[in-house]
Amino acid sequence: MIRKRIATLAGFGLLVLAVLGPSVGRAQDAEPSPRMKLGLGLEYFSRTLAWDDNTRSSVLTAAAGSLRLEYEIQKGFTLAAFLGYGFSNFNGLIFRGLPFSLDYEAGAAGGFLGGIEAEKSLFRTGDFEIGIQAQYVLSLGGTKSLAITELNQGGKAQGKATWMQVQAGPMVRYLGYQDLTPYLSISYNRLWGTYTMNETVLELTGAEEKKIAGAGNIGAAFGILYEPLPNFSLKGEVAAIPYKKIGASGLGVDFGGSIKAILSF
Amino acid sequence: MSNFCSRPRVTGFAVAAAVVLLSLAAHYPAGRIGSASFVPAPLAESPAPGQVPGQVLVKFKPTASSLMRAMALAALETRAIARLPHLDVYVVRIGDATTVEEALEAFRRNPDVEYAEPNVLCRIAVTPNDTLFKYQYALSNTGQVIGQVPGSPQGKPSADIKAPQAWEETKGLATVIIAVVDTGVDLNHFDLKNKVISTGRDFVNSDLIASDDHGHGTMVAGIAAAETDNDEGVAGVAWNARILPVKVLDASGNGPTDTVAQGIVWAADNGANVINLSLGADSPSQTLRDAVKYAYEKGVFIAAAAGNTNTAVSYPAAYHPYCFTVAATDYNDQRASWSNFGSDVDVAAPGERILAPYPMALTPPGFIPYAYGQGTSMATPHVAGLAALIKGLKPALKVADIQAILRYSSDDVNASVYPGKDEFVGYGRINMEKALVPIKIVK
Repeated sequence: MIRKRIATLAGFGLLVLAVLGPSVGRAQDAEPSPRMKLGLGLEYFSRTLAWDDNTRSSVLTAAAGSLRLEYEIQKGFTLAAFLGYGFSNFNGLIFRGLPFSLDYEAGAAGGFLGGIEAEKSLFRTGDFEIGIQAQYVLSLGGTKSLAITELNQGGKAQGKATWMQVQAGPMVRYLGYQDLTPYLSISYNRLWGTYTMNETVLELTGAEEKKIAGAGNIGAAFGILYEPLPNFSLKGEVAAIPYKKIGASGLGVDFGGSIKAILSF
Repeated sequence: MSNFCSRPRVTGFAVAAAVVLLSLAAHYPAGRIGSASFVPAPLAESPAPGQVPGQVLVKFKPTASSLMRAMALAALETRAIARLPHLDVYVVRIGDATTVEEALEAFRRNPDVEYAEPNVLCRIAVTPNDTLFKYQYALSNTGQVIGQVPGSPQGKPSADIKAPQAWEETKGLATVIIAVVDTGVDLNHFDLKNKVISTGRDFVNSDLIASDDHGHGTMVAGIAAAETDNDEGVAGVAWNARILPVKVLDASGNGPTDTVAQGIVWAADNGANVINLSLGADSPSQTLRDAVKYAYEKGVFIAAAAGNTNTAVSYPAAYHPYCFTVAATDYNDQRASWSNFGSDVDVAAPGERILAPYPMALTPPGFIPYAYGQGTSMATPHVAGLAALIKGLKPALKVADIQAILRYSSDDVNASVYPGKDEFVGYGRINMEKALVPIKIVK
């Protein structure tokens, strides 16, 4: 566990060093790049979660829309922040630490979501540009109240999820096309969080905080940046994260995707 | 009667009179259970839960056209092998290169799909292979005939405590101990010998061997926690819980209050998590009250019989909140006519025609050591067993929490006449499934 944390810290350390170092501007960006960009992003992903000490699993599906503000600090080095609203579906989580065990099957709950991103180009070789990217996402789910109706007394359950995602890694862009920039990235991708469930049936009360974590930690993404106009771009991306199945042999793969529309000024 | 605790009175007669020792062909020696000629072949345990390999169930949204449906199926190299009428659900066979999980994930991402799920194999719930389980309607009532003698009664399906469904969730822990404070326990009975944690304590004869010279305690112990899935005899409510025998009643089924009080305190001091008190007296006793209070405050759950005289709840069952009071129902989920009543009644459990182990030494030749009993004495160990299962599954819960779980998970079986909590069955007949199995919460 300690070794894993050291490796994670080392990875982030390298990332910080790379970010602080000089960046390489893209060849086709002869004119000064706009420094501020405003955009809209839509994202969806499905992620296998492990919980109860990695003995159980369920799938988190999440969809979010966000407003993005990007700032280009220097050529090839962009910082971005985003804030939005999303829906997270934790169906399949089972809370056995409550007086009456609960099996959550109540679908998605809404909540605010925000985060920061950094993207930096490092060097170029031929039509390829090597860079790094990192992202941190925080989702603060709203409280979802649900009725417990199977007992001879009415009860209430209240669930609230908070999850975070960190991803960082190298990326390769192909700059050989005029308006299209395909890219490929490999990243360390960690998702973790808690789901807190409170239960009340008359005088009987209980609370359980369940720690959840994404089953896989290394992912790959393929995306395309399309710039049809000087001040407008579209970015689409699909990502895959393999994971070792829990309670079964073999590997599974989680998928996600996003699309962003960016207006520069 | 006020100075003595006894098995609730009617129970005494009922067990003596209504107990029907199971007859066995003469060539089967007493003390040994019969062969398959006596009872049907044991039921095998259900296979592990699973799915139909290579199949998923898919329901498209009503707005999805036939073309979109066909495209969705073709895209995954799947094909519909059946469509369930009325439900509009497709049974889809997936290609060899795709796992069920992958197919499900792909279908679920399709906006035209309302839902996709594995084609899960349905099966009967956990069924123990104990040969007499089929007569234990209290645990699983299928409407079976309860007994081998012609004219034996037949129960109403589902008038039971839903034990097999609950055993899917837990079968209990061997670290949870149920003290049977009673007439002792047959320590050599083949359905109990591996379940008793020690030879216990005999407060009647002042020794450390709490053997049973009456039969009542052995029946109670077996109902709560007989060895289960052992190819013979009966199933206990708490498969894996252990039994601590404490003898406080003599061969006639009676015992003075001070002896019973000693037994309760000793059980609480010797590791009991649950105490079963299938005994009672008509008059109150401060000593008995102090004893159950002592155990309660040590974190011991006490299940106590309401009594069998169709009058007010007996003592110590009436000592709330220390005791959890159990009334009796029958194989039709009707309140037993002799079951005591009052505001102290918390719940009910089956107490009519309950099959349980009987001391081998007291079993006449030609019979197997099992008997049918009735009374709140027989109802109470069902509750004690369930309390032990809850304790094993959720060890942090306090006694009051376990009591609340038992109350609120009960089925209000007389709701048509007395909706809500009433004096006859309290909150209702206990339901192990609701108490233990995760409750699905949906929108």
